Amino acid sequence: MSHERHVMALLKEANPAPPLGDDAYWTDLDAATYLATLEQRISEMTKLETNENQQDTPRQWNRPWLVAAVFVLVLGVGVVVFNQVGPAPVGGLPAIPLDGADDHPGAAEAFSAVEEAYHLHNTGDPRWIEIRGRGSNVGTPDEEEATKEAVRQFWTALIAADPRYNVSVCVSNGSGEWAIADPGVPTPVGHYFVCEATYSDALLEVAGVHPQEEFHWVVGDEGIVAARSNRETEDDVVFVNAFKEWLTSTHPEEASELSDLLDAPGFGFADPQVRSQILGYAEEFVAESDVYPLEGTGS
Amino acid sequence: MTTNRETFANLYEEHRSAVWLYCRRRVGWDRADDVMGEVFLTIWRRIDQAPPAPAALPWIYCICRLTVSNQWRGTARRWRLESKLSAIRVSPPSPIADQVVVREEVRDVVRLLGDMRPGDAEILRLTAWEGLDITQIAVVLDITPDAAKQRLSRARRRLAALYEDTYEKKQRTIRTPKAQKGGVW
Repeated sequence: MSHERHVMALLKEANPAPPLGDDAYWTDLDAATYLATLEQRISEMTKLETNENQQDTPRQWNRPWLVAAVFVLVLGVGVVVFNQVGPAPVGGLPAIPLDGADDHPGAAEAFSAVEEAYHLHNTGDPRWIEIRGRGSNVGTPDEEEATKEAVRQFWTALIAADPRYNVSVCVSNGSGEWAIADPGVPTPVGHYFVCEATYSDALLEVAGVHPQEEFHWVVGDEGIVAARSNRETEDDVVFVNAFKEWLTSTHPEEASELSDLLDAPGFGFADPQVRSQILGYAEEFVAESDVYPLEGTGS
Repeated sequence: MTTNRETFANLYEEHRSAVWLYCRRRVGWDRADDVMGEVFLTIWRRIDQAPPAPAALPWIYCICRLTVSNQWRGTARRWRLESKLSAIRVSPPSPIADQVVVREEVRDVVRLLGDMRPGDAEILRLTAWEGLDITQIAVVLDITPDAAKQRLSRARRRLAALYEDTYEKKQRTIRTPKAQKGGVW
């Protein structure tokens, strides 16, 4: 028996639940009964979701500068992400509630710049880089007053603006003062939130690369006294670089042009043919790779 | 014409043991029922997409895999963030560690499986524990049969290499006497 076969035989032996016989491990609920319990569960979940949606109905926003600040943060996050990874077209900019925003000096300009930047970015136009800079002069995080609601609003706006984000989990230490081990964050007054988001697009999906980003918030009586985002890994950058090297060795005649596109915002994905070509090569690269696709926890 | 309810009933009756066993193998006794509930909930929600036999079982395993993966991903992330917040060290849950294995070399293989990349480990489990062939594995992992074949081959090589490395280290440990306290380096 070969070495590999021997190890596989051991693995078979290690099966924690070998199939010994029909329904040997399962209580005997018939399909109709089981389906009834599932439908009951779906019904309860639907009620919960309905209630949550009712509670989440947007109210009149009486802190216009906060809304502006949230969008500045969105912009900042966008800059971090866009500098790392190009976009896949997302079918236009979703509507974002801007209640009361016009009351804040400069807010309208900032929102306009954000919308324009996202629009251009999503269509693969590199001019978004110039435009997004115009919106970055409205306030700083230190000036802002915020609450938990602001954190929630931030995520809503972030995901609405860029569906490639997915918030995985948020945790909070609750109320009260506590010592923060991380010296990079100013002393908090009250709540401390850490939220984690994953980020992906068509090209990264092929490689199983799901960059993660952590968002730290300190929220107290005075509002947000510190906020920052922290990219956890450089997996996306490593992948794109490896992909470019592979292109150079396997498709030298096209490598130069495609590498330029991979360096540019949008990867040239606005052109369906380019998109299809790049994704096709990416699949080829991943199939040959010992490293990709990355799988599992994504951490 | 078969209704959705009939389709679901057929899938449930035919594959509930397989689903439960999959969950039992991946998440342990205590959570298998809950995960199985999630799996069948997803099956019911996607019942329109259910393929006919024999493609149904790989399709169901695919849902199982994603459900279990989401469960662990959520747990791991929450644990990691909470540990950062509280600065309290807590061991992350191990789906394999609590499973009863008797022979030492079998235990070694299970431990090595836990050290492997999740994708490699899963393709080996699908082969050794669920007994799937390449075509079925390709459906479960949503890749082409060629890619599945390559990945399985690669994973087998990696596990064998890890096992060999472990075995050699053990042999060296047995041959090398322990250094005495206060001895000369």
